Amino acid sequence: MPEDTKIKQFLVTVCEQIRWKKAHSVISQELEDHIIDQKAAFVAEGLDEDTATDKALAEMGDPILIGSELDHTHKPKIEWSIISLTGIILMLGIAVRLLVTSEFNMQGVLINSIISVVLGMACMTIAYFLDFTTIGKYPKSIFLGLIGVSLGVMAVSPVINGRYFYVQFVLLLFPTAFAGIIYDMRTKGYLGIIISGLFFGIVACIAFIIPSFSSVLLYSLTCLILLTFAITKGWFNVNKLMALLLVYIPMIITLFGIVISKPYRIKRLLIAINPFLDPKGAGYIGTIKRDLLAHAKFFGQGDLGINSGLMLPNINTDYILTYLIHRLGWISFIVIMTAILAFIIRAFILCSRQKSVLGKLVSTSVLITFTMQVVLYVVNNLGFQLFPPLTMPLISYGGTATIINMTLIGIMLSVYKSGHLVHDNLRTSIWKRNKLIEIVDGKIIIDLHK
Amino acid sequence: MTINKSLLTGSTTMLILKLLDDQDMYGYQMIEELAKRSDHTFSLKAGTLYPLLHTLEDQGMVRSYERNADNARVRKYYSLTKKGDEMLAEQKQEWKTYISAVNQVLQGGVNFA
Repeated sequence: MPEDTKIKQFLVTVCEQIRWKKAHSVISQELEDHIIDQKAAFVAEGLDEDTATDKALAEMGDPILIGSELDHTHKPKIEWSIISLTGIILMLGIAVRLLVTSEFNMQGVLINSIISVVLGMACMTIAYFLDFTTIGKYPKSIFLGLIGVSLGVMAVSPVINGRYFYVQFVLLLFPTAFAGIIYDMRTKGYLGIIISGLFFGIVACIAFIIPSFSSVLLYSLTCLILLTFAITKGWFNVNKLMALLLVYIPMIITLFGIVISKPYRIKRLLIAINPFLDPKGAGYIGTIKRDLLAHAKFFGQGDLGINSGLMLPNINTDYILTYLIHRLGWISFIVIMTAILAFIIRAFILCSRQKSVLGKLVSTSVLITFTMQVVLYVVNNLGFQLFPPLTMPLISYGGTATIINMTLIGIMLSVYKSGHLVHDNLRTSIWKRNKLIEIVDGKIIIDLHK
Repeated sequence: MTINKSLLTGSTTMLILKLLDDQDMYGYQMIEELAKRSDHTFSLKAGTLYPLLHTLEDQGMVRSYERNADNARVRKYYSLTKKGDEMLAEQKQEWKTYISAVNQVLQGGVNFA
């Protein structure tokens, strides 16, 4: 229809003025709706289609002017707060590495740290520029692809202490992929929840095979929180209580089964709470940590009379916080935790501002993954030795972990950049229904515009 | 009666916020409603409205969401945020001060305040 072409031409001219391409579709949709409404009003007043279109367009004003005005408002939002906090935490990490490597003569570790930060920055930038909505478009392919990657890494990964070491860190990417699965399944009701559960289960099995109970815990809790979040938000469109029971009953039974099946696990739990039950055995490191912390000062070296780095194994990766607290005082812990908490709080605020389901799910998945790593690491380093610590994001030593965490932050930044332009396909589903003839509220509607 | 445009420009933001204070609306509805309530004195152009609305959203004064309108078509609705509510109260106050000052001058210095 010629009047359609006129409307399209108007919208194209408006959009040509707006430099940020991602904003185009949302803006032209809104303006098109407006023109159609205006035109319909003129037609109702008795004008013919063609005149109505011309008049409706005239009412809009100059497309070039509108476009340039909109161009001022619509710019990608770069979250400098998150970028600077990431930078601060990374610098704290490097400073800690400088201290440890100078005290224990491990220059290689410092160089590796710097290389991984540089690679991490590259990955973060790439993730920032990639369109995060891809996670919502191809969730299954991404999830299964990641499983393939994990199995591949498992095949080539060195086995350290009986563990497929590097796979643990690849698992950190799964909650974000799982966010895509939830997004995809949310229209399928209870079945959607069950299928999400199956996807979850495959990866939980991989975590058991590694075997890394820290990964199992971190991954399970993160996915559980995401799923609970989606259910309580009503995104699955089912009875919330029933849906929660559907998730939590199997979860609790499995957990109970895992703890009960091997008697040593209960013993381990007790020792974690009180390491002094077995100070020379399973509670050995727990005992050392509590000793170090008990003798730490607020400022300066603790009064145990020995460098804490000599008493703990793997301080760079596993016990960096315990080491620092005794070596420099609680102030070091407070400084690091302040930066980390500021990051978490800021990210939380930004997540809660996301409007689209996909934006909320993806950004929240990154936030929870980050927070869970911090919680597990801090709890461990403060003397609760149940799970081996995985990684303190961007602070503890670990090339793969740093790169993966920075990639996740890049994905989060990508959501903050353009999340406000994502709408959850409410419109496309309506369009699918928009046929020539449809029945709404008992009325037959014949729509000739489509 | 048509009004000099410059009189309207300064207060458009306030009028839009006021409309949204009563109920959530989409753009076309706002223009219609504004014309209706002002006995067709105010005819706001879409070309003015949308850049303004998008700026207000960017500043966090309003937020938008998609919903089925009465005629079963999806529309982008706007609603007032708490911040927008505060801005409205502020602008109303400024407006009152301004009007009373203008009146004072027009009516030859009689003080009504």
